[in-house]
Amino acid sequence: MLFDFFKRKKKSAKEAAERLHIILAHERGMTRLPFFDDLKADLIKVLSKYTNTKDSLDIRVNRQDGYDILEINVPIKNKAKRQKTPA
Amino acid sequence: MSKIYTITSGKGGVGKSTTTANLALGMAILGKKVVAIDLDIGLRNLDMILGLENRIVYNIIDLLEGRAKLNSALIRDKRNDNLKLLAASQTNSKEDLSKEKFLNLLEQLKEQFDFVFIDSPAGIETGFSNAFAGADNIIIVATPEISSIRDADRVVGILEANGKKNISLILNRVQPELVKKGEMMSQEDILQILAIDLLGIVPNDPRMIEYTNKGEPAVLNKSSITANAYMNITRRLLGEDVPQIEFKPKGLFQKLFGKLQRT
Repeated sequence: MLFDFFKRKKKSAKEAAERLHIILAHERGMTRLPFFDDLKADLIKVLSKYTNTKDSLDIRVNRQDGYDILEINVPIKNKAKRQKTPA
Repeated sequence: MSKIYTITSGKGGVGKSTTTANLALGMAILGKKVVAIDLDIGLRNLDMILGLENRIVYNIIDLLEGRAKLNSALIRDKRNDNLKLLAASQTNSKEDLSKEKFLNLLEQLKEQFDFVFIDSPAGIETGFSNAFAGADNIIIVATPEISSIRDADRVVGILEANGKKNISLILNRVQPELVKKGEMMSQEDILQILAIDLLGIVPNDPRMIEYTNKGEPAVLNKSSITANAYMNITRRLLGEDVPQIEFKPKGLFQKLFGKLQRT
């Protein structure tokens, strides 16, 4: 590790780990919370009513110490959608 | 102190039966009374890995259906009296095993043996739920490959949804050279993804095929690099605090530096 010349090219192990993180976050949601898809759709509906973040929303289920944790990442952009287009 | 361990995996071919054989025989070598059960009904394998295929007269279905008595269905290992095998049936399908009868059998075995190791079928089909139903401990075997880890995660999810708490991982066929080069996921990468306890790491051993060919599990071969790994795991199951060995390939610098540090 000490002598790693970092960032020449992404190593395949890193890539594997990243791909797994992403796909499993999705699969855990699907298989562990049967209502995941509906919840996700509803969350997107609500959040996009107030923010511009529909495409950058990150909703996933992670596992920690034997618990499922629903993680929702909402990057808030400067301009609120409401001001542009009142619903 | 009786303990029932189910050895399982998401993906097939990652070394479940080999792991079961080595842990069971390893535990027998340490003086514990052990029974290994092959629950992969229809795809019997553990018998060959243990080199006991010629001794089988009755299998687990015969036993559960009352065609054989317990003592005649338990196959005695030819090298170690502490180890018995209960073989899978080749002619039945996984649905032929009654869960209720199987759980009763486990209760009986718990009285006679210190450890019960169940070699589970891969995947998440019918046989799988039988395999973990009576177990207090689940060992997941996975290799550091993307599909193996993905499937392992799915199995962990199902087990946790079924209220199983003691789930640990054996990471099999690790190649330290590749990990060092960044071409194979490290144990840290994998533990972070699966979020279960690490029971042990077994390095990739090109000689493993020899042991399987001969029906002599690695733990019988003291010069084997995997024998040590398996024995360490069995000691951990007995509650001993055995540190994980680092299988990092050593460069000249590390060798010299390692020596300096030790003195």
